[in-house]
Amino acid sequence: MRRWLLVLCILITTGIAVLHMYAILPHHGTTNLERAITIVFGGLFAWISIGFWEAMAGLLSLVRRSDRFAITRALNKEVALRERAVRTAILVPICNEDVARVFAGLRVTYESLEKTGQLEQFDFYVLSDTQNPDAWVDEEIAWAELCESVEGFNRVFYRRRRVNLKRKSGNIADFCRRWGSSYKYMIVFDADSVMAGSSLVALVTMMEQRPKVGIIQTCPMAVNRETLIGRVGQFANHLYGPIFTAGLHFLQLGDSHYWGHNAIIRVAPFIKHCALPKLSGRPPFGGDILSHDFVEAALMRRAGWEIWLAYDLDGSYEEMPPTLLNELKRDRRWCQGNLQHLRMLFGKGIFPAHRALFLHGIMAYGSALLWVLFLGLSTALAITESFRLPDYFPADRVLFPTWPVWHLQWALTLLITTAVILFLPKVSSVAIVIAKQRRARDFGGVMRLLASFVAEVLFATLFSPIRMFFHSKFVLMTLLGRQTSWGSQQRGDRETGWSEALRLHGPGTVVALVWAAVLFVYNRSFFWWNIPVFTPLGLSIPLSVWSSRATIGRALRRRGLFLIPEEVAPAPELLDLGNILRKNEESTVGLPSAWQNGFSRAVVDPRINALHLDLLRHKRKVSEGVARRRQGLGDKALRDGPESLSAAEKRELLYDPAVMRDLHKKVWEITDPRLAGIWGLP
Amino acid sequence: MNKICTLQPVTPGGSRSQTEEVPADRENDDDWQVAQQRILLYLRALGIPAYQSFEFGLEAFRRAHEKAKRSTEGQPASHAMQELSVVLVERGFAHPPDSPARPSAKDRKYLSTGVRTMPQLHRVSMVVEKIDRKPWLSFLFRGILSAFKLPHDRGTGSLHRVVMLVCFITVLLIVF
Repeated sequence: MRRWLLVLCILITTGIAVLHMYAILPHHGTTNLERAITIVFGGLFAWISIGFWEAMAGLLSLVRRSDRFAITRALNKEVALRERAVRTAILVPICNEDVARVFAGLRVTYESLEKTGQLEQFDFYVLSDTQNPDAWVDEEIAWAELCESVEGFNRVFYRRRRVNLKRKSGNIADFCRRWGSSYKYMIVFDADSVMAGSSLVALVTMMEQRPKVGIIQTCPMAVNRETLIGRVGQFANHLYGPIFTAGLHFLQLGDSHYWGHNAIIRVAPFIKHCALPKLSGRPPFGGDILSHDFVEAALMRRAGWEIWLAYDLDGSYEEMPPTLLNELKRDRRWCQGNLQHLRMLFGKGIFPAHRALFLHGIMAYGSALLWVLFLGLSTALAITESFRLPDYFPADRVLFPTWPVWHLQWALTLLITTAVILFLPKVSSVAIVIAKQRRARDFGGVMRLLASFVAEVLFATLFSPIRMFFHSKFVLMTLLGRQTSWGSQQRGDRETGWSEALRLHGPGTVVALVWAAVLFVYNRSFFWWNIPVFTPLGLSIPLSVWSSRATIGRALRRRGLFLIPEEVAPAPELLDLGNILRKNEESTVGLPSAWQNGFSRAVVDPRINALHLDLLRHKRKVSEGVARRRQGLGDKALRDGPESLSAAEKRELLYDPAVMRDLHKKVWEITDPRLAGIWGLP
Repeated sequence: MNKICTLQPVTPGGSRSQTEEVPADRENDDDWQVAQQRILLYLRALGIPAYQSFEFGLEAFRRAHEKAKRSTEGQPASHAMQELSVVLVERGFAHPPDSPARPSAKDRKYLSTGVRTMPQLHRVSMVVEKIDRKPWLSFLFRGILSAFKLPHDRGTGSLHRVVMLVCFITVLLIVF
């Protein structure tokens, strides 16, 4: 009923907007170009209406006192987890991530869980797919140090895969095959996830209370960013996120999302029903499923298990990409993954709600292409009209001329309606925070909240055309069969350089300038209407660079702009995370600089060498050829230093305990002072 | 020929904190200095307590020096590190068959044999379900079948089937 109501609302809103559009166009939709424009406009308007009506549903949920369907109501009854011997694994799949940040987040979660007194019910698994040899050794060191500091041996486990089969989904499936049957639940983290211990216990309790539930997804709050764009993003996430997630919950109920992290999963049905196939054909549409989370949720639901969104559960955190370029890099991957869902859209037995989610995911990027198409068609119409002589007597034998009339008032009405559809959810979010929840203080007070809100709207308006340009490019590239690589996400506050911005935003800038020049020459009035689109695109290079500046972000923070509740009154977990990261930075001081590099450290540092050899578990038999090659690599490293080896060569050496032991011994006996210096020895 | 040189604990940066006197060969003085610094850096990297590290270092240094007197081959640093490995094994800080790179449980807990990086395996299989190679075609086929399977009353049944088919084809056209 709720979903049909949503469809009806979207159809009515879109129908009215399309009729208005017909009336505004010069020939009232009688030419093919105008018909095409109206159809594309209809698609776009329907897309933004979905967000609008979802937000309105969320508003309704938040205004009401209680939500009888909220999964968190299961927390009303206490469950003795210890007596039931409920085992839960917390999984941290990583791949070439910032090691210090990953293990700091894990430590914070561990200690927070310890405070709840329920630690015994949980185990932690760091599931590494890291291929970078230096990061591999750093992960081993960080694991050992974490276990030592929290006495977490036999509770915190570390496993590294040699072959990254099926990427993240394969990494988790590998856990399920090896150890999954030992656990009733697993809670999947991302590399930058942090969760409060009480929230983890709450998730397990809810699962115990609702035996038909397969997945409960929390709504992670974005934190810890210092760059301007990161701070704006996390402010928007905190301010608008609740209304949208409440809306999603209102409409989806037990057919909800799984976002791939900060969620609890019932292991047995996951193992039984959620093994992902490799899609037939070549990438980008074939091969490994990239956006695996949507598919896993659909498969779980197909098997009869419910999926809920715990939209009102606190204590779940993640981090935003620090720069626009990092965000776009992530979007490139998501775009390909979401477009792959075209293959799943018609899969057998998938629930209609999940087909809609697949379509929603596809449209998240497909809408950008529609927008570009709309702009292209309307520009073509504007140029055509500038060349065409007015035809005052389109039909024969008429007494009166037909005057070309442009209804400015109707155009403004449509513009205002579109603005309302786009911005009313944001305004409603602010109103809820100030008037209903009385939480303006969490955002720095009413005045600062309002100022931040206005600045965020301007910021979002400026960056929308840039994102649109890139998203449409990603969709086109995917449709043309260009594949994306699977790199790790940049998570620290690294800023964008001018040359990098020029290289990536250059084409967009040229397109904007050419487009603006054409419109300026051929149709001046249409030029003015499109200024908000091509100006940001034309300025995308400086906008991208400046928005990546942490100094600007910090300055605005000092002035109380874009504050989030976690900055005004930080959660203990986030305070601990900051403290641990600061201590980590201090602790690296004192080691020879050559030892900062993971591979070198595994060769030279006796403690780390011993640790690495221990973690290799058992010696593998290798052929004589391989043994000779590895010995040769060892000699090369000894002769020319670690930098003479490629990443693959370092990896191969790290796999061989005998060569590593031998190399360690020989390095310490080096007599050539230059070589000794390379390895950080006196 | 012999002179007194100093055995000084050094930080990686080279600062010296304490001294002790050891005889050394005047001709190879620089090489012995390097050997001495390397021994102390190694012991420091192992995390061996300071009082023990001086004792082990001095012992290894004395043995290396004696060995150098007996043998014409090898450099002081090489002799010193070899002797250090023997001392560490003797004092229980390394396992005998291996190189000096294996401190025992005395030094670091995580190097003890009882600690595991992973728990015991409990293997299960995770069977991948087959996926349609052309799901849109089978979807269309299923849709047509379901449309015709609907209970049809006289009058409304045919209309229902036609409406279902039209809706179905429209949706497909919109999507593609």
